Amino acid sequence: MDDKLILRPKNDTPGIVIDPSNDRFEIYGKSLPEDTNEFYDPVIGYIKKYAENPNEITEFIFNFEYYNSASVRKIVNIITVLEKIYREGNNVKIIWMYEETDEVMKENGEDFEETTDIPVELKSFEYED
Amino acid sequence: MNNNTIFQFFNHLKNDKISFAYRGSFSNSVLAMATELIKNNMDAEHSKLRNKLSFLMIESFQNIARYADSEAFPEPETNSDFFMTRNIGSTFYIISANLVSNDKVASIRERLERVNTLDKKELNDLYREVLTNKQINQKGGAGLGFIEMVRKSKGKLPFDFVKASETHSMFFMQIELKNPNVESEQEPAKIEEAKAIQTLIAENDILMMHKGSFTSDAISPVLRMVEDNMNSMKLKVQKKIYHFLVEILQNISKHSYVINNDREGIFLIGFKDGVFNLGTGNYIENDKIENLKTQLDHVNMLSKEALSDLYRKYLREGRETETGSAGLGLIDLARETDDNINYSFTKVTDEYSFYSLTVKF
Repeated sequence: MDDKLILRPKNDTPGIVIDPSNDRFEIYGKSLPEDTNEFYDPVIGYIKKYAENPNEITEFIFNFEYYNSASVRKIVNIITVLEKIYREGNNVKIIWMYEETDEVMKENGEDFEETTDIPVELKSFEYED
Repeated sequence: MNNNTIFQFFNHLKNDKISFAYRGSFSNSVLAMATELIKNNMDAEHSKLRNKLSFLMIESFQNIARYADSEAFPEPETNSDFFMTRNIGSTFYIISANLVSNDKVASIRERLERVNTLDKKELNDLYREVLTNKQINQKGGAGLGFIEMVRKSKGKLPFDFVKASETHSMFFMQIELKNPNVESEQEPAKIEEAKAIQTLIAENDILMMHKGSFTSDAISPVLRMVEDNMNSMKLKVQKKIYHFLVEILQNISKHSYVINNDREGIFLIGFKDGVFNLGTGNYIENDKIENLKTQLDHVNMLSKEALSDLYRKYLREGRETETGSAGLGLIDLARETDDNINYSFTKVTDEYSFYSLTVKF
């Protein structure tokens, strides 16, 4: 296993940082690929490998600007892998970021908070300008 | 705008391989995006026309800014200035419509009639004369724009004026750029058609209309354009419109009925009394209608709470099933509109129908 996976955000796919040795786990930006398998399957495969030998603490940041309904399934898949790590007695937390005025993304976070056992922290931020 | 309007537009544009129309105030960013949209979506056989088409679109667009007297009607809801690009057969049409004060009509008419009668050599002579002439009018160029449009398109500039009020007229002009390498049996589009479309757009308070083949490659520039164009709106509304378009356009690209290798679709964005109206339309196989109707009726029947429950149920249980997301898009859209998802199916042949949706935000 390479020791990290870092992907730049694009027009229709999010940026990815999976860097266990620096305790950085983040998915951010826009996610609206039509073919979600093509983008997400390698990412999820990578997280599954990480799950075989995870850190004691995994704080996973979801910082989406937007995602389409096809991406929802893949986000659910990622959370499912995190749940496995959690159930095995590790410390796992989801940090769900949303721009202060972005009610849609806040509600999306609340939906996940309702539907997973992992602790979810909703965190708003404000753009400087 | 209702489902009938969408079908009406689609029929007006039946022969258009791609068309894009915009109404409202004109900024350079709209122009940049419109040119990008057309460039990215034109058929490969027309690729040699790309640069010329961009040039002519820019000239036409800036011509609206140059001659427009729309300051008299600053409200976007009453502003009917209009820009459109369409491709039918071998020809691209660039149409502009803007209000000019009645006292300018005679001089614009005179310039256009002049450039429309000149042959190639006379046109070049006039071009050189205007370039060296010191008498350039205040609003930039003694008709240099018109001369360039004729020189570059190698066609005429059909135009018309329609009286809009005691003080203003609507000035219509059409640039025609023909691809000499493509044979076409299509009837050329007359400026009267452009006038009819502009009327339809203004009457239905449409801000933007796009008809084309919605493949996954073609969707991305459309979305970026809509996104950039919505920067002044409230974030919540902006997100909802964007979300609706992503879901619907991707749906068209996946499921719509294929005719001549194209998955044709249309979308319209309207705005009236503070409410955005979105409409889409595409062909669909008759076999698929029953199932789709059932899903639509189902989500329309459910309360906001029931929709949220259904959505969360999917988040909880849908993780292992690969087919579990059927209808998730619809559930999500229904959650976000305050109204129903209004739909309509109009039978076209025994094989397929026209399927349209409208929602309000």
